[in-house]
Amino acid sequence: MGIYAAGEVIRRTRESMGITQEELCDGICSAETLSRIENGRNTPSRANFEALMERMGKEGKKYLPFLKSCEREELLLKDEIERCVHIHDYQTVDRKLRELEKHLNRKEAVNRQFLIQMKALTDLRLGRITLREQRKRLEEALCCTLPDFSYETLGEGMLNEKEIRILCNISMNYMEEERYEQSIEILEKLLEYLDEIYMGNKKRILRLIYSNLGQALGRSGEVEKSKAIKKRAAEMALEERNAGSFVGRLYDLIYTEEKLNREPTECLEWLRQTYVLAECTGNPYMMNHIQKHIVALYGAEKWEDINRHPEKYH
Amino acid sequence: MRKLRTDQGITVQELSMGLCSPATFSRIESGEREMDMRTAEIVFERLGYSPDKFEIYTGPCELERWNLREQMREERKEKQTVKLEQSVGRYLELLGEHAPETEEQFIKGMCGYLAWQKGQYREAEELTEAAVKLTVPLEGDEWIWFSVPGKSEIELMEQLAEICREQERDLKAFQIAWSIFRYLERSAGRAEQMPEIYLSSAVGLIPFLLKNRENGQAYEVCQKGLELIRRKNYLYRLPELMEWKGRCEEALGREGKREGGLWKGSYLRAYDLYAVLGQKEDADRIKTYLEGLGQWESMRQEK
Repeated sequence: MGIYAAGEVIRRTRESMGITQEELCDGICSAETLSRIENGRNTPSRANFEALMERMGKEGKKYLPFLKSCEREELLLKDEIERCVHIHDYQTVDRKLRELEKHLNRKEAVNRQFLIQMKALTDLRLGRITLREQRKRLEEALCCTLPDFSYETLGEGMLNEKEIRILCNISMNYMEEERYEQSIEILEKLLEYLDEIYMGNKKRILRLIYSNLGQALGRSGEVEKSKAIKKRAAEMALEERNAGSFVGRLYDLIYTEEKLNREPTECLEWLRQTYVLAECTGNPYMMNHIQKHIVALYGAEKWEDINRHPEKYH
Repeated sequence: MRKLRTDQGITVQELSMGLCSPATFSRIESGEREMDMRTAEIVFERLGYSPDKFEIYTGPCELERWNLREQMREERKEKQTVKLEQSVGRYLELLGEHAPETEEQFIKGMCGYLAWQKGQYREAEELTEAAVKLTVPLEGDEWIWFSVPGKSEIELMEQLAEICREQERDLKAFQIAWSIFRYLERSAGRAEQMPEIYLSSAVGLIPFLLKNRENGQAYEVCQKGLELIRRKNYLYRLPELMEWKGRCEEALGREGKREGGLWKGSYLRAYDLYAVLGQKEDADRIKTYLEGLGQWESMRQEK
């Protein structure tokens, strides 16, 4: 039967891409370890297996059958944490992270990376650290698997999805600090990098970069350019059927339209409809966000006026 | 494979149904026998998992067919029927005379799709139905099965249901869609694995249920679909489901089973959702409907 062990899958995929063991494992595990894994003498941990496959552009999550059952809990917890970050529920993330810390094997670079990244994102939102501190921690997370990382050589080596996501986090950190030039430069380099490589889930990553770039350009004053990119990001989210991300991108777009002095009643109607979409797709964070936006820009009365639903949605 | 199977409490009999005998399957599981890539794909799909080609690689010939199948799925998705027809021809050449049943199923399904696109409904239905039955043994003629079909097998059934629906063979379309919906419902995690099929079959079921005055059941299907969208944050067929919810509530209201005014909320939400997703014609249709009832102005002002 053509079902192979984890090591065999890694070796076949690696050879089909024409890369060496050293290139593949750098920062994740030693070349000796990878060699033993490929020969079937070692079983990789799920985290490492995922990281190796992702480095080759494969979706790590697809390879679930190769897991030991004890790693299943860990995976579910990590998934839940990522989902909560996605809907900005940082209180829950904080709680779950403490739970995860108890089980996670910190010897694995990939696990350390995940913890540092998620804590950096959460601690900033919960007001525990400054932007500067957050950036330091995100860079530390990146260096877990990319020990020789520098901004100058960004995009020259291989990057996996997780590393690209951390770089996006760093770019957004620069943006919040109003250092738009740095923020945009990172994203543009990532786009350049993605242009040349194969990645199974490239579209999802591109959408993330586009939406960040749209925001950074918008804040730096390049409104027209930002609008075009935000529109592309919204279309991509819709294609992916990703409700959370589509609502976010729509909101970004309306924000730009407001900046461009589009007719306010039109924007308000659009905002209200986006609110309904957030409501129907289970996104309390964006509901709250849009409500606050309307109250701040159009007044609390206006909000009362448009939000008198005949019934609450359930 | 055994681990995936036993974790989900699926028996060898269920998993092997329509593919090979349980005894053969047990030998495959213990590594004594080999399996071709297409069969391996179906088995893994039945376990709710889509394998990568490098995981089940058996040799360059099979890999070539795998890649071509991937390409054909893409062409079907993009509705490039001319290209797809050429690919089917090339595939048949590669396959030669002794095609395994699982590959025959794939190609029959594609031919069924092509016939459907050309408006040859009878042929489309026959081909698709034959394709389904190659690996999904049915109990009686009511579209009930005791196996655990995977994604591509269910997609074929969905294709068959749609072909029947377009020919106004509503009962058969309903039976198939109902079976799919119930199957995805009762097996843990299946609906989440295949949200697209789950939601399509839900949308297909509701009009039939309403027509037969099964208003309560129709309402329940709507709610389940909407609930999956919320739970999975999956944006697919949302406005349609919301509109159907309004209709169900309206019908239930007429029966006195629900408060009269509730359905207007669903219609208004459907209007908003169509509008925000750029489906202007559908939004206008709802507006016209509510205007016809003399409800539009008062409802908008109420807000």
